[in-house]
Amino acid sequence: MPKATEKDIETHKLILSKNDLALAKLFDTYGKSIIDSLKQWYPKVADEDYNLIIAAVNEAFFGYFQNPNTFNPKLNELKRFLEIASERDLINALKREKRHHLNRENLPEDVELEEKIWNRSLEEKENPESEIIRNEISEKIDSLLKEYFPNGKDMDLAKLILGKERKTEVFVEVFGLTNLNKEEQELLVKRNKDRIKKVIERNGLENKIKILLS
Amino acid sequence: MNDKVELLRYAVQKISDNRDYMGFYLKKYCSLERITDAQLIGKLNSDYEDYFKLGLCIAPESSNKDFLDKVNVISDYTHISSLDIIHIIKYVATIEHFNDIPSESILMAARDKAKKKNNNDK
Repeated sequence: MPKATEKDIETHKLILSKNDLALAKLFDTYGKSIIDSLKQWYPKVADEDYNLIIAAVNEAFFGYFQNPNTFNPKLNELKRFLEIASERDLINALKREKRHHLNRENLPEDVELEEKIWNRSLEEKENPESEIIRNEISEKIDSLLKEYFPNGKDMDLAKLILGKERKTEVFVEVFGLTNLNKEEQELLVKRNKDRIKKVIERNGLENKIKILLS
Repeated sequence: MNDKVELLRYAVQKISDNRDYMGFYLKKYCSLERITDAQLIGKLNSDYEDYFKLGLCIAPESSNKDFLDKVNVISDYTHISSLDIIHIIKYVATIEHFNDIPSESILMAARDKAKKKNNNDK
């Protein structure tokens, strides 16, 4: 017993036979109800990115039109089949948008503008995709810096310098100099910062990181 | 535009470079006549929905025997006059045909015609 309605079967046959009106009838018959479904299921998208819904329905309809055998009248009504396909295409479009947006967020014009990517706290709730991208970038930067700063503390210091950290207390913590007096702390921090800065400048590490981030 | 019209418009745009569809002829016609879709809709005494539905129909081949039958079917479905549909198809097809002919051939034909006329006048 087919699940598809008579109208579904009629439309499906028109498409299979490449009837001159098939594409127009497909959009005419099912377009509005599928858009209504997506607008109901994704009200926020409908408000903010209405064109994504139109594009997703189009993609789904053309997908079916070009490969009508993907629809099995025994399993589904054509409306439901097109709803599923349109929703899938909408979700994919939303994912692409999100990825694009995240990539743009993670591409600073200048390393200075990027707020210490390795130090950025992940306490703020991030979505899994954002976290994956951030981790990937962080790993790339780590492996680059490791080549020039095999000593873990030096690497941490380099990250702080590249992240334009200016507070002496932060460097004091990293080097474990808390037991020294302020003057000694400042002297040692300055000496080590100068040493690390020279390695960074000599090897053009800022530029290398920019390339990694681009 | 309502949802359905917006969807139809988007679909026509997608196939408007494919000469198998009426969307191709509508786009070319507008471009040749330097008019907008809205203006053509006015000329056809149609509305957006029927106009874009026309765009999604397969364009009948004017050299085929069943050309008129096919145009009539499309006309019934879109409520747009058969004469208007034929005019659009033939107009675009003719211009396209001339565009496909190398300009030298047209100039040579014009030259031959002029020569012939001169000879007859003598």
